[in-house]
Amino acid sequence: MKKLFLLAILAATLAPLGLGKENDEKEKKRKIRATEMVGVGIGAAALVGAAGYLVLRRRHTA
Amino acid sequence: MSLNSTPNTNGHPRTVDLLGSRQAPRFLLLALVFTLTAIAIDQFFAPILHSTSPLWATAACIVLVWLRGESGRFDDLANSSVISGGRLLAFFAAHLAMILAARLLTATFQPLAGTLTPGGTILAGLKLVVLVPTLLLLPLSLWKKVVDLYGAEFLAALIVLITFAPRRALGVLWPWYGQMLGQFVFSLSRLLVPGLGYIKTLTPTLSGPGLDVTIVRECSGIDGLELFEFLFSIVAVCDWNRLRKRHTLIAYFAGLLIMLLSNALRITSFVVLGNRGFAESVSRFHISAGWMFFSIVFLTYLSLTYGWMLERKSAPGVSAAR
Repeated sequence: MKKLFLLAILAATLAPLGLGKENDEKEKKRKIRATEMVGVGIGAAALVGAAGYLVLRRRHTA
Repeated sequence: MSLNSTPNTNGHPRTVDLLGSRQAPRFLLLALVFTLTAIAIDQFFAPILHSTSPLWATAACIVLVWLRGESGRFDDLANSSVISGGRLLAFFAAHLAMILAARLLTATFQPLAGTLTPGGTILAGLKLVVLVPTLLLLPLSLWKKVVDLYGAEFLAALIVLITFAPRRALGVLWPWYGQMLGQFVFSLSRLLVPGLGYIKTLTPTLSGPGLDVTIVRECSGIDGLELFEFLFSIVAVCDWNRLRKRHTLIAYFAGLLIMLLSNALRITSFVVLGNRGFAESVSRFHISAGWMFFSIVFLTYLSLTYGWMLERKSAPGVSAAR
């Protein structure tokens, strides 16, 4: 469960980079706008931040 | 999730868990739910009144009051019967009057709606009048008692009301703030980048030998602020009854400043790295790297302040929920 959770965070963390790379390689096929890129990034950042907080909370609660 | 039985002010035990008490006064929750519903109806029938701030603020107040509990203080009141039919009628009549007035004035105010002009800002402020009819729902003396007991929750809702729309505030302040940000970044960067120039426009440009960096409004740190507010609200909701409210308030505003300062350092790093042989990487990753940076800043800040914000552990049997 813990590994799955970490994997989800890692996937969310790397998602925007992957989208950017795809954008460059297949520019003619599909484009992602900068605003969309920011949206994905902020969403992933929120997820990472929330996960980090939960870890911190667990330490203080224990 | 651990449960602790702690005495309330009347000496009756109440159940508190990590998410808080579930014994909030029903009349207050009802008043807030009526408010939230009425505001949503206002905005549906009079779109000129559209503003997310009062909705967020009311929702925050409901959640925090619910978490706090403390209905024991109002045992002498028959809870939901405090809101009489007459008061409810007056409340909805006031909202109806607002809808009609707003629809009547839509043509006048439409050109100003959503603009970052002084007129647009005044209009945004006027939209908050939708919260006023809520005062009709309870007697004034009871409101005083409620505010006295739930001062921290109402203050948190007020902060949500004022600061949860930083995009408009930064947009209005941009002509001034943009210059301050540009000058600050320039002052730091020129120590490490010889020959750096500063072009003073609405979107200031730092012109270097290897890369020109233009600071547009989107670089104001708005994303960092919104991320901080979102994450901090999660902390506030999850730990509300364990937080020292004064410390939390200080940590919130200090955190906003830290995010703005760290954004300035982020842009400085772009200018320095871009003019030190990493122009391609900076151009390529400056958007996607921003969120990673803000996330790290938030977590670092929280790890430094979290323990300070929390109530100190008290002796067993003594409530730590204030």
